[in-house]
Amino acid sequence: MITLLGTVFFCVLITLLSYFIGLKLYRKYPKDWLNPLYTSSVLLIILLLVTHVNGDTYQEGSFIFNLLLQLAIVSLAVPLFKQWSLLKKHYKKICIGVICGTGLGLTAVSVMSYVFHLNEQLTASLIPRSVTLPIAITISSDLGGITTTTVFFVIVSALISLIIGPKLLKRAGIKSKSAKGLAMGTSAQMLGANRSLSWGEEEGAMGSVAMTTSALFLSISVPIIATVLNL
Amino acid sequence: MKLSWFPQLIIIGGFLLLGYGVCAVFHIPLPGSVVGMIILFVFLLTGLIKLEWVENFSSFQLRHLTLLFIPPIVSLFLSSTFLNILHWNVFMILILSSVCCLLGSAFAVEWYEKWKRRQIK
Repeated sequence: MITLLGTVFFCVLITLLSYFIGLKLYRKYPKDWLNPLYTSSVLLIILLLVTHVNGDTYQEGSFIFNLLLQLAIVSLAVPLFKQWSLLKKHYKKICIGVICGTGLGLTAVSVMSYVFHLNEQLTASLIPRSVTLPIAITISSDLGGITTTTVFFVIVSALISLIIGPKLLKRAGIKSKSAKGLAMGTSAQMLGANRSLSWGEEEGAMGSVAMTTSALFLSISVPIIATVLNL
Repeated sequence: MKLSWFPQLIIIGGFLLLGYGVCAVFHIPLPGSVVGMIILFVFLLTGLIKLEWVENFSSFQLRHLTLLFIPPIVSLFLSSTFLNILHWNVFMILILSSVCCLLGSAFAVEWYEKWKRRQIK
């Protein structure tokens, strides 16, 4: 009991420490690649390796952050409520963007899994890759995927979208503010919504709207996907 | 009336529990946190919960959301299953599907806006 408490305390402390260092660094030098997500993660991995804490122990000790993530999902109701009038006004645009984005992403995953002959389990873990983490985990286990793998896929694809997204959209000649926000929110969820907020108010609002709607859209369409896959 | 952060945390936590309860009772295949969010959203719309009661806590939490993504990333890098899924084709799929997703929604919205503008003219 005491050791568990000690582990939790140590893990929380060390995580907060690396986050604050990362945040400080980012505030001083606001560059895209210095996002606290990268710097703090790298710092934390180094710290854990130096202190000889293995992955399983850390995972045990950091369950508190998982709980906070669940709370954060509930908290999303507040921005959604603030954007309700915007959502009602633009619901067609939002639905089109979100459905096309998630639909194309899903198709790409299914086609390529077929081409590369991936096993079903891996495919099932790949399908929910573009939704918010806690929702993705549930979808993946419903489809028979491996949840830890899904966590990895979600984070990696969010990172990929976050890194290439802004440049890709610029290269593709996308000028519309809502298109930029919706694209980032659909494919990079919370990270994308955060990023699009730095473009401006409208992009940010569209980003977080896209994130919530795409999560809802995928969790509703999962039973359909499951039946299609079984055929 | 503004509440301090602790009662705000209790309200949000309460809705999380409520979401889990509703899911368990009605066998809803959605995560409890999502249902909790939807219920809180409905309560906000109907005015049963005032925005000021939960605003500060939630915006604080969402501002520091990055923090909550660090532990899963780190524990993944340190876990033993990590190396098994590092195949180049998996990465190809992740990159290409992200590109499809990004461009798909961006172009769909851009075309929709253009079409709409033409309609107005």
